[in-house]
Amino acid sequence: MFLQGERTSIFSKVLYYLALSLLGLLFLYPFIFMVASSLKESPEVYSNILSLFGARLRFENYHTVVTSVQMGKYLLNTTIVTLCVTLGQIVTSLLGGYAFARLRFPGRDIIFRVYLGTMMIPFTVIMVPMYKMMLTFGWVDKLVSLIVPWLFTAYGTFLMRQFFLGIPKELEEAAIIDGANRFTILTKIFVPISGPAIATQFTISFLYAWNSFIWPLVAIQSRANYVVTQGLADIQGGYHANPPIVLAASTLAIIPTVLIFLFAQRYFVQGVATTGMKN
Amino acid sequence: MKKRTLFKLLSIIVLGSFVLAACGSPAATEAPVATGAPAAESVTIRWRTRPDNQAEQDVYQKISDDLSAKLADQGITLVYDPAPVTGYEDKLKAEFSAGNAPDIVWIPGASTADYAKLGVILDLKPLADADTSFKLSDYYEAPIKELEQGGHLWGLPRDISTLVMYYNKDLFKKYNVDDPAKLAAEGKWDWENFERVAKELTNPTDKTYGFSMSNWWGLWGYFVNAGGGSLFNADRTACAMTSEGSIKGLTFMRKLFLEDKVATAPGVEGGVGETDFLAGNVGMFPNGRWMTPGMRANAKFDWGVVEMPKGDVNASWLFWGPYVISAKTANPNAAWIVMKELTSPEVQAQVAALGSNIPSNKDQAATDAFLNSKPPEDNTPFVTSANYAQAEIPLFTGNWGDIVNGIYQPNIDNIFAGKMTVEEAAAAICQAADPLFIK
Amino acid sequence: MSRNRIRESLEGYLFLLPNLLGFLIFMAVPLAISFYYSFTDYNLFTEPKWVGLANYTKALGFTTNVESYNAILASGKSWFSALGALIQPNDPTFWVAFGNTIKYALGVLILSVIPAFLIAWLLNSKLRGMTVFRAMIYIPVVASVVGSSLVWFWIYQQQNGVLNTVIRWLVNGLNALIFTPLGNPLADPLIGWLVTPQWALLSLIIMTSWSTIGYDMVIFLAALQGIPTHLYEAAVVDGASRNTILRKIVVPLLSPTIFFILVTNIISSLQIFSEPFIMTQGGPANSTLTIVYYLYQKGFQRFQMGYGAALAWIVFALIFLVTIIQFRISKHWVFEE
Repeated sequence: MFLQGERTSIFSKVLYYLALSLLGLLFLYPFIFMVASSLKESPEVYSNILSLFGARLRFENYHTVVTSVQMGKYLLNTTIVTLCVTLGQIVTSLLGGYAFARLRFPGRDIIFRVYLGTMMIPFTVIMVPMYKMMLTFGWVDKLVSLIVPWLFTAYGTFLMRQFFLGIPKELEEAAIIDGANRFTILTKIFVPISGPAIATQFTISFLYAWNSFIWPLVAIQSRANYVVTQGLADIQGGYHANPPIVLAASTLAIIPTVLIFLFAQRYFVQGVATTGMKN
Repeated sequence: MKKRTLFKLLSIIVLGSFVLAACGSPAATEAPVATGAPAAESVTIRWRTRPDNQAEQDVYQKISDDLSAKLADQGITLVYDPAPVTGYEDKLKAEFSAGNAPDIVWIPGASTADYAKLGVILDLKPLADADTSFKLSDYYEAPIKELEQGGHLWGLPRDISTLVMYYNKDLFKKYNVDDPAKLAAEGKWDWENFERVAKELTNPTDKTYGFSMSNWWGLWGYFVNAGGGSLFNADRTACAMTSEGSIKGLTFMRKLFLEDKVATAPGVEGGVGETDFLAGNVGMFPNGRWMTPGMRANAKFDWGVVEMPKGDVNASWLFWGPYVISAKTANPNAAWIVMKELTSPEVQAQVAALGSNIPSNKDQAATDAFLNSKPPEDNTPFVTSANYAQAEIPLFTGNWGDIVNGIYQPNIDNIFAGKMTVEEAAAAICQAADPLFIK
Repeated sequence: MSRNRIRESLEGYLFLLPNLLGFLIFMAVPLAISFYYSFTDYNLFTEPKWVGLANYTKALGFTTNVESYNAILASGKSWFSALGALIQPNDPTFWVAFGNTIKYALGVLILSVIPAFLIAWLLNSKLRGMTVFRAMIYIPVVASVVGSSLVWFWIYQQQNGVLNTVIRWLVNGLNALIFTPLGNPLADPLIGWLVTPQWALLSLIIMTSWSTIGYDMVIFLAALQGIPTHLYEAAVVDGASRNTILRKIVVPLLSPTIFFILVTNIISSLQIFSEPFIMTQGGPANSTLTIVYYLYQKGFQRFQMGYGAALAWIVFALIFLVTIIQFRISKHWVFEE
């Protein structure tokens, strides 16, 4: 906005910060509403919808959510699933990205294009055959069904490939002359400098796995195995007359993703940008 | 070196999780499925129902625990497997196709036909005929008639619920409006007075409305029926929305919403109108008995119930839902025993006393338990409505989803939105729906 | 091939193996099965019955109805209005869903891509605190649709929701200051955001855009920051206005990024499912029924799996087509170095 070489007055700077703050608050408003209303009593949400505080702060709403609804179990399930999926995706993407970027094998480019093509396929196309597959394997209603099919990702492989393509060949050349095998090159040279890409992959995979809703809805039936998204939908149904409880549950569900994002922000943003630019 | 070890460690973890996952972690399995053991050994029956809210949910959990204790000497243990209200049937369909549905499960009456046609629920007729102590006549005729389609018996009704008008007594007093119960007692609770009362309660400055409702077939269907019409023809092979009575009913409904403006816009099912009513801003809200536990827990005003106002005829729905037994159950005999218990007068009285639906069993003690479950102070409207209420319709002659949800509902939505006149909408409904019935 | 090349190829496959295996088992096989289903009548419980192209013709086909055409002509109306009766779609609901999906995609494009670019432009400065604002705009991206849905219900609630309360306040304020003295007070519009067919789709579009603007913005921002500053300096020195700089320098340099954003946004918004599923169940009056949600209704809820599969493949074909067109057009406006 402010270009190099321009002279800016204090006034325009103040205006600028004001505008940005307003914009930021506008985007954050739904979260502010969520937290503020989760601490109110049910009628207060309706009668006094814009207020930040009710008569008092009802932290017991959170207690209700954690005790009478199995939110803790859902969080545990989701954490297990998300961590497994994320780790798996990082590993397979590193391996696959390296193969596409540095190794020559017959059919490489065709396979890569097909991979990219799969990103255009709506999940609902394969949802029922996948479900039938889960039936055959006996994985229905088990957390396995939320993990194993998702251990590979076309988008992540693409990300790693782009990133590796950008690494100058000189870095490996010394190691190749020394006779190092490819696996060592990958692990000793590429991985150490892939921090931003891995952080990006981590965040994207984490978010995707944590927030996935449709597949768990179909594949998981018992409450004991629910993930957070299903748990929330369940709470919404049972407590539709009591918004603060539902909103407290929503807040709890959102905290891990916000924390991950804030923590990985630096690398993540850089990584996302890199994908966007070199496509 | 460190990074490499770390990487190796990561790979081991991932491979390890592959292995773990493939084996299936025992900690994450669901409630035990009924085993195929003979009756002498212990048998577990997994069952489920769909409560409208958490309060109702607690009622059924208690029933399950009590019954489990009672049937312990017959070797039967009950496990109550609650399910979310949202997507209840989506999940059930997935479970049926997986073959791991609960042994006993409640389904909406209107859906019975779909499941029966697919062959996923057990025909109970052989079990019922073989059981000499069992009398089908103990139950209300209307739902039983639906369940006996084609000479089968697809389930036993869990309960019945009639559609009544909940009303906010405080709001009526505030605006000094005639109490509907009084009007009903005087035989004056008709559409004319209903409209008048709604207008008197509507106040733009105070942002109050006379009426609100949820937008599903139960509600606009009431208007159709009370106008003298019906959704389908007598043998359910054609749409009947273009009949004079149906048009009359829909026209009155439209008038309330778009001309008199005494009602808040009906939202998608289950949400919007109810919020406004619970907040105390709406005078009258029609719903079934299932809303009562939620009202007791959340309503902060004095409330009561009254029969639905009379249009050309008295009309109400007899909502009902059967417990059905999964065709793949390992213990049909034990399931039958549990099913009879769940629909027995004793259990139904218990459920009724805790505030939930009306017993489907005609036993007087059970009915009394219901009548004595307060608030609301006067429960008789629920029972008197049952005399003329039309039973919920399982559509054996068509696909309910395609016909009612897919065609009837969107066109009704257009009436509320003012995009179609009643005549246009009715014509569109029948034109699109008629080909879909199986004659 | 030389031994080295053979070895390299083998290693290539080996490295790719976990990926490829997953792809074959969990993507290729289900795809093939789904393709097969689309030619059958299948209700998930009994064996699929082959019906050939019936599902596809039901979705995409039209029938001619000469009698009603003649009837309308006979009643005196023009042939143009009779045309609607002559050619009738086999599945009108499909075309409703199709139209909604296209509208949704366009809406998200306008309400997400353009604001994202403008915000990135705003945030592209060396002043302090940009990271904070960037985070504020981005955080909605991490919220799940389920998680934020109840909040949006309350924002959109007709009688007393956040938006309508604010609008009411504004209307009252304006009335007090201007309109009532003039004798012509404004009425409270009391918009039914989620309950009227006219507004429901837009409400969902806004909700989706809220959670995608951050993602697009971050990509734009990085691309903007990649523009060498000396270009700006030179332009400023030459006296170019901010507007000209934007049009003649920034947009052309950013065109590959813009292209990328357009392609990815369109691909994902043509597949929208969660928002209609959770917020409006396709209503009111099917105004928020998207193709993918319709496919779910038919396939999963109404036991018409074969038809659902055909619909899914139609969506895929649509996405594929749109993407190819975009790539072709890109040659004309995307500036490659």
